[in-house]
Amino acid sequence: MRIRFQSMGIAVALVSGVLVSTAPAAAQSDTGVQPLVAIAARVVADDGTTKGGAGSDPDPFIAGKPLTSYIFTGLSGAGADALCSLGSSNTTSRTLEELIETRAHVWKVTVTPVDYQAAKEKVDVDWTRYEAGSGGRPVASGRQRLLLLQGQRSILDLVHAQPGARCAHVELDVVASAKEDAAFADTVLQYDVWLVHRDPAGRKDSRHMILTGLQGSELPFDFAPLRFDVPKFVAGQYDYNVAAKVRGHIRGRLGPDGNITLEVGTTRMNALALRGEFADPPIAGEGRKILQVKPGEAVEIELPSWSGFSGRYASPADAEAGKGTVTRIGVGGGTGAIGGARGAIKDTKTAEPISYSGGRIVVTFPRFFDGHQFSMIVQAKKLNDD
Amino acid sequence: MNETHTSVLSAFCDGEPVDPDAFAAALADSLAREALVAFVRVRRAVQTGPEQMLPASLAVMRRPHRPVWRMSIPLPAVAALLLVVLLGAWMVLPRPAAPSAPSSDTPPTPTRVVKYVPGVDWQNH
Repeated sequence: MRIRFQSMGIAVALVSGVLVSTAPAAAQSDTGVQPLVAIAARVVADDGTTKGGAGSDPDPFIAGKPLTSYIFTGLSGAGADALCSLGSSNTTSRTLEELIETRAHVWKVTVTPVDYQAAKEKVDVDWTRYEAGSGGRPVASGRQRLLLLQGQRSILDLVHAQPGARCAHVELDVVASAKEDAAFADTVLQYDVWLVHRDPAGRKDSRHMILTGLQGSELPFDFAPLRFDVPKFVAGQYDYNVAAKVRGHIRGRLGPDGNITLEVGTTRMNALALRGEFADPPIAGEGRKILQVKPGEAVEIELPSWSGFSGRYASPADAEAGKGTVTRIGVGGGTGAIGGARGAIKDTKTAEPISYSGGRIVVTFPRFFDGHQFSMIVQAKKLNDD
Repeated sequence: MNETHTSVLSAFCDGEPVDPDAFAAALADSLAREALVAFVRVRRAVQTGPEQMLPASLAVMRRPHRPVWRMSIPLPAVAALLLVVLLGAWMVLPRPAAPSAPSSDTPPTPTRVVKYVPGVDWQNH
């Protein structure tokens, strides 16, 4: 598994011509960042807000060095609200037996760092949950390997509160974080991000966002959808367009060599939409790239060709006759099928770009965007460093 | 005051030719003089232009107004005036940015191009 992952990283570097860190030591020397890992739990209220938490201190990510922590709830005699208060301990200050005897719920969690590549932490997690009255026997457990992006929390276990409790549930997480190099921690970076679209005739359209943030901060960007007209096939047809949307995040770190390491995450969505509507369709594709750039250097990142299809009832009359699902969206591979008695898409590579089939307007994205090119251009610099 | 005196003064105010002796006799009449003042007040109340306060016989003594386009201005002065106006406009009016200085919304020319590669660093769902 490890060999395969490293090969993947080398492939990224070869294909894209970018620098991809291949080991924790390399990543730290490039960016001065120290990856960390922690075990945490939080109390969540009925409205979804966090009402409290506990956990281990973030531990330096060192491959093979396990981090073990106990997480526990309130005293076993505290009734329904016992779940709503949390504590944590390392393995030297408390014993598991003592905690199981006194607490309503106890977790023993061990996280073992595996490797750190391209700003991703790979960890092995082993956890066990005990409850009061179970005679010291585990009531739940899990063992898994996780790949975590910086700042990501991955839920390991979740316990719902009993009715009448002042919280909804408790969740157990493993959290990936990072400690910035003190010499650069206060650096403010500015990012210019353009979404660029070129049509088959070479006409160019672009959108631009400017973001600023501290070294290592993850900054989201979200471009307004690009919209493309859909021809009318039937009388009374809804006013549809094809909406293509790109959003993502950017994170940069200025290094001791003066270069900036960028992490660019990109998500693309597309849908047949009513004018002015963008009904948050499923994600069609997403990617993440690590680049090393000079301050002010502009790098273009091309997005892959489109996949999937989207179909919606063409008109109110078709919707009335259909009596079925209004929206059907297929994404992913080159083939797919749209249900309905009167029509189907057999192959998104050979289907018409837009068609009227089975009472629906169907857009086959690979054909519709044939000849179109979408890319992002990113540029980063230290703020006030012209 | 007799009506002859006031008629003479009224005619004078209306710009009509009057006999000088009759005009002198009318001015000698104090009541006729008061009538003359009354005529002037009435005219002032109904007319606005200062020249219209005067009889036509006096008004013609003013320099006639001539339209600007009928004035005779020397050709070199006209050329100099046009030159000044054009130069001022060139200096004051905004000009389009030079092609080498695109606006900030125009994406810069990238120094390199990389691609998301499906299956490597891009996943289609």
